[in-house]
Amino acid sequence: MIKNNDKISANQVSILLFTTMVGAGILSLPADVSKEVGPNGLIAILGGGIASLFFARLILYLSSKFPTETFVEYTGKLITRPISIIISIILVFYFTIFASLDVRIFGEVLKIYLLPSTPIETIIITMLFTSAYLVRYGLEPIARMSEILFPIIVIPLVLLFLPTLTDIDLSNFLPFMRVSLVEFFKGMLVTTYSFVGFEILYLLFPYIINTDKLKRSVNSAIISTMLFYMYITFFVVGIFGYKETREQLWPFLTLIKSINFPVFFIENVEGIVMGIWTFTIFTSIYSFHYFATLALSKLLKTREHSYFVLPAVPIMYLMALIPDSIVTVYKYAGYVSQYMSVFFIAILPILLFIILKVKRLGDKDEEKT
Amino acid sequence: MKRKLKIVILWVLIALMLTGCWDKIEIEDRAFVMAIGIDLSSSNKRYVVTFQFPNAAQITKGTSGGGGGSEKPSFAVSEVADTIFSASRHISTRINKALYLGHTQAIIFGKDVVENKDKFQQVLDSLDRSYELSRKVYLLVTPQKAQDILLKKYEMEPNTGAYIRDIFKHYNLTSKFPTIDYNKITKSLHETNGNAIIPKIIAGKDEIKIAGSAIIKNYKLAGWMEDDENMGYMWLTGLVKGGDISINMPGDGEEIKVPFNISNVIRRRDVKEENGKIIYRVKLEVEGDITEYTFEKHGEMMKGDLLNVIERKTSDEIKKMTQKAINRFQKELKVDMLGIGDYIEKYHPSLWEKVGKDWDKIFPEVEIKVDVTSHVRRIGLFR
Repeated sequence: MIKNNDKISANQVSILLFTTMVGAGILSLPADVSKEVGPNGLIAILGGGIASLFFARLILYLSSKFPTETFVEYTGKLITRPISIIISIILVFYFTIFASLDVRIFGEVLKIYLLPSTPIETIIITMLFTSAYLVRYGLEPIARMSEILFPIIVIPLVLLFLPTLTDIDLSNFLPFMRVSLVEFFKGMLVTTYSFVGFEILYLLFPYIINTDKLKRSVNSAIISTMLFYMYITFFVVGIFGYKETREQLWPFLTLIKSINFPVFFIENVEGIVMGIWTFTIFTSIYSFHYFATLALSKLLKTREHSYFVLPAVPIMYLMALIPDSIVTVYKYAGYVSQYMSVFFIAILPILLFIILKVKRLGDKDEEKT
Repeated sequence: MKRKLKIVILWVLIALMLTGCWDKIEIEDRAFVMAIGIDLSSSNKRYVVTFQFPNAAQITKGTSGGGGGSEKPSFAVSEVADTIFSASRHISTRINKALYLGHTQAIIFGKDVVENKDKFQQVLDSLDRSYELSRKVYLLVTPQKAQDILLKKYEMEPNTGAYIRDIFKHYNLTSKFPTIDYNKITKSLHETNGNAIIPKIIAGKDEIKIAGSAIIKNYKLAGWMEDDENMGYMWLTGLVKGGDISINMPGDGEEIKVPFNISNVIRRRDVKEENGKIIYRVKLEVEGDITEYTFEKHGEMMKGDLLNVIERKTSDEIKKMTQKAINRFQKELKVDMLGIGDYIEKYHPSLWEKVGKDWDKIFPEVEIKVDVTSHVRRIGLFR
């Protein structure tokens, strides 16, 4: 049962994907990738982006075979109902975990940089209620919110770093490709944590008006995300060198400390960046929040997803507060991205694709995808 | 009744929501630290941390006819503590403001801190982990006590932090000190495992002076570099962006000094391996102008090969400087701070795989060749 006014266009999908993917990962990505591949972080992100694009298109292909059904429904046909239910429940949890991780990291960063004496619980609960308020109204407002926030996120972040161009030492990207293939593959794998978010394509397909343009919008979303990450990594590694980058917790924020506006009355731009970054993480949180509740409502066959929006808030709140410290937050994030993300991004689509081909299921008319 | 209840609830909500955040600190309650000095106490066990901050109250009053002449323009307070962080906290028992480090311009290390490896590492880590400190601060080492520099008031600019920052701004007039900021120093410490060059600062009676540099080897002060040696180091690492060199030229009877004003430097590097010996070649192309010679020689600049002589002598002078720096690092300290290892690692990775592991042993054996070509581009307004 899909309401007519809750459909979005392919362009909106593109922006929604971008804003979902760009989230907390941006803070630590340069450090994670430098740790694995040294000076070749940019190439690893390129590799990770291309791999993500491949799997995103695979997920899109699968969904397009069942144009009126979401993941929860069509996997029932592919891999028997009980297994489908189990995987769907994991998917709901998966989205919830990402929303909680994002909101926790958001809380930590905001507490450190802007609100030192505000309890993190307050920051988290405020963010979650804001997200719930938006998510209750469904997909269309969410996509529109992303459309509004997209330029506010991208334009200032791209411009802010330009004054540091003079500090960049291009030799920091040398030697070129002197890492083993295993290391490089590992580096690509850690970038996936930053690309997490395009799994929403599992659920998104029935809600899109002009599905014929969808391939293009998925391409542009993932490529622009990749370029955005490469842009930031270029500045970080170009200024600090990989040896220092890999030791930093949030090289993105350390980079901001190095920005020096010549002839400008603002000396520290941290405040501005924190404001922008709040939008970045907000877009990721509401997206994961929405798709978690959507998957749940499909699973329980309720008419509206909004029944679950508010009950999800305390769950995400409690989950966000499970890790003791920022160290454990990143440990859990590592587990989730290593096991669950790899499963949902890579293993599951390949499996489903093989089963689809073997069983010859799906809508034959959509063969053109 | 229901309506009234709604209004009451709305009132309460507005009161709760609009009272703003509880993190606010009014600007006049903050002390914007401009410079930090770090020393060790006499027993070398605890830190003496000095914070210098301008008097915000006086600044807000404005410069209305020198009315606030009796007020101090800047404050400096020292605190003894076990760690740098606790010093920044314990100091609040003595001042009526909240310290804010986000605008700090300079951090000065006393000699005793850089001489003590453990303490120095602790200080560096404290700076790296700080949420507030900007990465644009300048780190400096002083052979005196940092406290001595910060507790003084300088008439030229009572705000010492701003004073230091402004000196760094016109670095390209002299090339007397390496323009290395915090970002570059930590990068160097991370990449070479504890080696770095930090500019040196000393306080005179009524002014400060930044010149020369301190050599940090393995997180410990290994020595100082002055004048020629320091500039030689700057030539080799490509830090020279301006400044002048004096060369001896024949004058009327005795030799006179002629300044060569550097306007542009191009540095090229190359590494070769011959018979198991590494040859590192630095090519410097220096452009500049002659700004004084002697009155008697008017009209001679255009004649003969006077310019060639000046160019050759300049090149020799630069070569001598670099030789001094090479001797210091290669023969005396045996530590690679000339960026040779870094260069090989980046541009000749296959060679680095062979020599990288025991670079410390190989570095003193490396043959460093410096070629300098100078060009006089301008001669002033007289021929």
